[in-house]
Amino acid sequence: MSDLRLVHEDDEITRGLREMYAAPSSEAYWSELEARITSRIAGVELGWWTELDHWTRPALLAAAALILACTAAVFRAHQAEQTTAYEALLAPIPGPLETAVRPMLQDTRDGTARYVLTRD
Amino acid sequence: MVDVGRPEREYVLAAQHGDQEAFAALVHLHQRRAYAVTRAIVSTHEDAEDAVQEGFLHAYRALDRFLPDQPFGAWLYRIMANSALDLVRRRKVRDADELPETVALPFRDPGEADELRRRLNEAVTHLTERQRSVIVLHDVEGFTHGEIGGMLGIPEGTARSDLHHARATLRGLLKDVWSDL
Repeated sequence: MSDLRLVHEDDEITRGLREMYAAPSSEAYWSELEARITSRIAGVELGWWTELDHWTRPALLAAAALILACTAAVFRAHQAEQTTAYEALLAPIPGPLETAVRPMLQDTRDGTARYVLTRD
Repeated sequence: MVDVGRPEREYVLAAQHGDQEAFAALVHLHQRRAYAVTRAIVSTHEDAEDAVQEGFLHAYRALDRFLPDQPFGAWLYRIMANSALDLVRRRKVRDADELPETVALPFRDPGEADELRRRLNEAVTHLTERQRSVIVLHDVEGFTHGEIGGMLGIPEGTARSDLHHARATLRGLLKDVWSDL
């Protein structure tokens, strides 16, 4: 089958399909359909979620800003705490330094010898 | 009333702020093309009309999610295609009598015109639903393969191959018609 013949057949098919699937041409038809659609839309109550949708973006931005502010505050508090602890460590200790010394444990043998020598 | 000089984007923005007249203007501008899209997918004029009405309702409800910098037509026709595909699915699973009937506006289907059209009408039923949609959207309505892919949710290459198979099937089925000519 030649290409020319194929093209001709496809053209015929396309012509036929165009007639089969042609949209109504009457202006009155489209005016009527438009009126039907718009009257159905007029009856549509957009739900509370649609209204909520308007607030979604500002609400998300506000939440993000709040999270950033909280993080910054926590970070600053933590840093201040660390500085205080560091400074406390370096500061001179007030008053004399007292050292507790544990008495040395004496050998049992020393104790026995002392006992013998001190005895009359 | 549609002001021809007014950019479509302005109607879209106004409609997004709840202006129903602006949305009516968008209906006026797009209803013919919307019908063409749905008619390519469903098998009757009545179903196409139902799908158009449902499609515009969906679009109105989803208007908040539309980004005005994108082409409104492409977004709307995808909704129309989905509305038509949904109707086809419902037709498959339910008995047609169970569907809410709406009275279609009077319109004589040109498919009934003559013998040749009758044969073509019959031949078209041998195509898969997707092949029929693709050939009508491409050959009749002039959509590109990419646009068709976007509307039907298929890759561009699949649309191309569907078109090729649809044409070959119709040619084969109408072979004797050509030989009589």
